[in-house]
Amino acid sequence: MKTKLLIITLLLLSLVLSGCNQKNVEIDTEQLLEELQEQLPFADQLSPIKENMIYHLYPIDSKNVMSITVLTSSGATAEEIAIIQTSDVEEAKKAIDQRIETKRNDFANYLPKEVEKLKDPVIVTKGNYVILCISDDSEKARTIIEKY
Amino acid sequence: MTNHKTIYTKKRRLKKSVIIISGIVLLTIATYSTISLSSSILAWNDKKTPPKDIPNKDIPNDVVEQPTPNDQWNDPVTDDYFKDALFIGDSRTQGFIIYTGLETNAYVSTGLTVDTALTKDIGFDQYGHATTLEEGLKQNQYQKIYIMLGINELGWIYPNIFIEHYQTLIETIQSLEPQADIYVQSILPVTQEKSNNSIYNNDKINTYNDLIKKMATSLNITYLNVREIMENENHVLPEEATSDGIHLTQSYCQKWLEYLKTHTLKEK
Repeated sequence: MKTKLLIITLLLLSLVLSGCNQKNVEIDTEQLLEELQEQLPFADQLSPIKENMIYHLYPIDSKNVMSITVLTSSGATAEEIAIIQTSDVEEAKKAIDQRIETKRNDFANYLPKEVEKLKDPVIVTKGNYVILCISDDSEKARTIIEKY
Repeated sequence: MTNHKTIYTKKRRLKKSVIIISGIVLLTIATYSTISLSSSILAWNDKKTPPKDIPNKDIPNDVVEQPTPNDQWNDPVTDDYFKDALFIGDSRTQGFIIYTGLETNAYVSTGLTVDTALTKDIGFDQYGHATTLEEGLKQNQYQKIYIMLGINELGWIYPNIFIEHYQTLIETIQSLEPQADIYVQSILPVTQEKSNNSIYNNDKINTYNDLIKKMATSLNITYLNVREIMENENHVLPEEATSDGIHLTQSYCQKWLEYLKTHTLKEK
């Protein structure tokens, strides 16, 4: 009985500690951005936004952010990629949801066909990274991001 | 009997040893994982990783045509000049801000119009609250304000309604920012193809621009004819300037910036 208890305790302890390691994810942001832009059928050229402007579009406390990169369209499309490394994953996810909602409202009256891209935006959480990709091929975007 | 007892005891000891060794191995693996996690947390605490600069793949500056000396008011100011400026506009201005990478202030939104510019929720403040232009003007002071609106109002039936709303907007800005130099910019043209096939019509743009110029004179603000730096000999937007007939490429946004840099009131 004592032996079984010891085995179970050790196993549980190992599982808990190993589980913590899921947060220790490092993503090569530059490589991911390059691959997404090369592989996905973006209609417009995406360019990076200056960090001060990013916080105007994504309501995130900069103190929680370890790194943040956003590439967006000229205005002709709703296409966008965001990679946020943060200590508050839930805050980042909420900010992304608000960004998508803003884009839906903006494009609904302006360019309704762009709203299609916003029906299934790809949002992936990996460790302390939250990644957004709005494109015409959500399935492919998700496959690419999941590899990292 | 004694032998059985000895064998049983040995087996028990062996079993215990195996369990202890397995436990040590599992704990070692788990502990290694935890140490790696702690290292990354400490690294974050020490220093935030700044965002990497993503190189732009667009055309470099050598294709930007500089204005001829008699077109400009002054030698080009630097990017820093715009740090205390505010840009108000629709998606074209949004593209300008993004593609030029200017360190400046902007209330820009896709689909923004003269009647919604003051009250539409645009962006978020430092606390994550949605803000309007009116709130932003009440809370901040700017030395220069650049406005370009009108492309989204081309479908309006009555041009005078458009200019009435534009005038109301500017008068409100003047009352909230009396210290600011206000520049109202001409609506940029669209390509010939876009003009032929949609409500984004260059004739209507020309009509609106005439009204905007007269409004600027009556309100004693500066009219900047930005379109002259990017239209072709037919006074339309060249195909190479745009991805969809309306929104500018990065190189043409740079032309726009160069125009603003060489047409400033303070340096005139």
